[in-house]
Amino acid sequence: MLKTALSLAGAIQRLAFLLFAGTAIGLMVLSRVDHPAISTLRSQAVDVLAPVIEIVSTPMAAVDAGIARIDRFLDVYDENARLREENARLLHWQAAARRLGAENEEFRGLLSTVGEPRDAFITARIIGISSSAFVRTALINAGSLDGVDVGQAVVTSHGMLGRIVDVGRRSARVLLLNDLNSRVPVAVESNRSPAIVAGDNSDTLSLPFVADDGAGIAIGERLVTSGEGGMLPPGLPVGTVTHFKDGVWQVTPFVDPARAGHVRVLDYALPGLLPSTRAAAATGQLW
Amino acid sequence: MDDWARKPLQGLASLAPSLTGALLVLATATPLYMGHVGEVVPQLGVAAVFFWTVYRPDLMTFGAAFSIGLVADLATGAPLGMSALVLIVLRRIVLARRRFFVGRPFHVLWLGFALFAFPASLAGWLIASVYLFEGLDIVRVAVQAAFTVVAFPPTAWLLARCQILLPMPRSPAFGRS
Repeated sequence: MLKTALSLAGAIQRLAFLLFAGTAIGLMVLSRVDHPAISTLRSQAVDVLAPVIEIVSTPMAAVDAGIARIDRFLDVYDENARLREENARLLHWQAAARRLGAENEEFRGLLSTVGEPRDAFITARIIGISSSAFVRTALINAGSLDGVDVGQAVVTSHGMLGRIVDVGRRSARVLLLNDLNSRVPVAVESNRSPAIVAGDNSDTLSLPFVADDGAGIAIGERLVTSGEGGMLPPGLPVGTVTHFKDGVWQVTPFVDPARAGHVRVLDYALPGLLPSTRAAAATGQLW
Repeated sequence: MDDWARKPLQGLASLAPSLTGALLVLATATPLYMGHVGEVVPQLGVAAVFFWTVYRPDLMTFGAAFSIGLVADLATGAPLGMSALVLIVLRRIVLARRRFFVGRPFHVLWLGFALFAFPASLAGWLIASVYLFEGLDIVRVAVQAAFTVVAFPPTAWLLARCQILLPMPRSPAFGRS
């Protein structure tokens, strides 16, 4: 009798395993083909999970802050020297930028240049970062109610962090620049040579697609968003070209996601090409 | 205790493995930045499924392991079902060998966990590589598995505190593999 019960329990276990394994594989297939149901589920999950993550990750965040404080304390002398040097350099650049800004304004006025659209922004806080070996995303505490929409650029004071991929009502998920699925059109700041910067889930970025076999690219060059496609504003700092590895230029991003606390979500839209999400929301035309 | 009060409590207790596993997964949504080592995210869902499968396989069902994996995937933005698949396979393999760990000293359990944590990470790497059609960095996966092993003692300590509070199982089939 007991033997029969055990054999029945074993059969049920095997059936349950196959059922759940099949469901998991099915979900992966649906996820791979970007099924709308999966997107909806993800958007809703972002809203449900974000507050819980904020609460339960507090101990980890406290440990992280403690480690960062010790790290900073140990580096305080080197950091001080570096900041002094940087401050002197930046003061020089500030003077140059002011002079060039005034000159630029004057030339624009003379040429009647069409101005760039002004980009509105929403300030949000990062409440969670997933930096596993498989995916690089972050959660922020602003959602569709605040005007956040899929595709918008997320930046810090240092440069671009990533793009919005899932939007809940009060929170959203950011695909970081170094995620494997991230592709951003960029240009070399000094000569406007175009390229595509891609992530590979590591801490660096790469340039798998470059113009003219990378003739305009060199170590130390700064990369900024090119604005091609009209989805991202041009000129957002992305990173610096650091080395050439296995036939591909490698880039160190300006923004360290683990150190980004508050971010800005840019509501950028080219006039006549993409409606501003904020303006569309106000007129009820948000698609 | 009256029957009307016991039943909801038992129901809640049966959810303890799923809830603790899900909370551990969500707690690690903030990575620890360890200076030059980089960002560290131990896979505490793997630790929870291993622990509960060894000590309370009646409560760590395939459904529980699946739900922890699903929460992990939704929280991280990973391909939906990836962690769920890894965790239910882990549950099945650990279940078949759990008798070896029951009643053994903690260091044996820890060593056993290390033997499961690395293949579990490797399985995740394989699934993600197939899913993305791209070979991901296996070194990073190994580092992540190593930190998961390091994080096991405090995690097991926390889960053991929860386990003490749970009522004993009544099923005659409890403990079979």
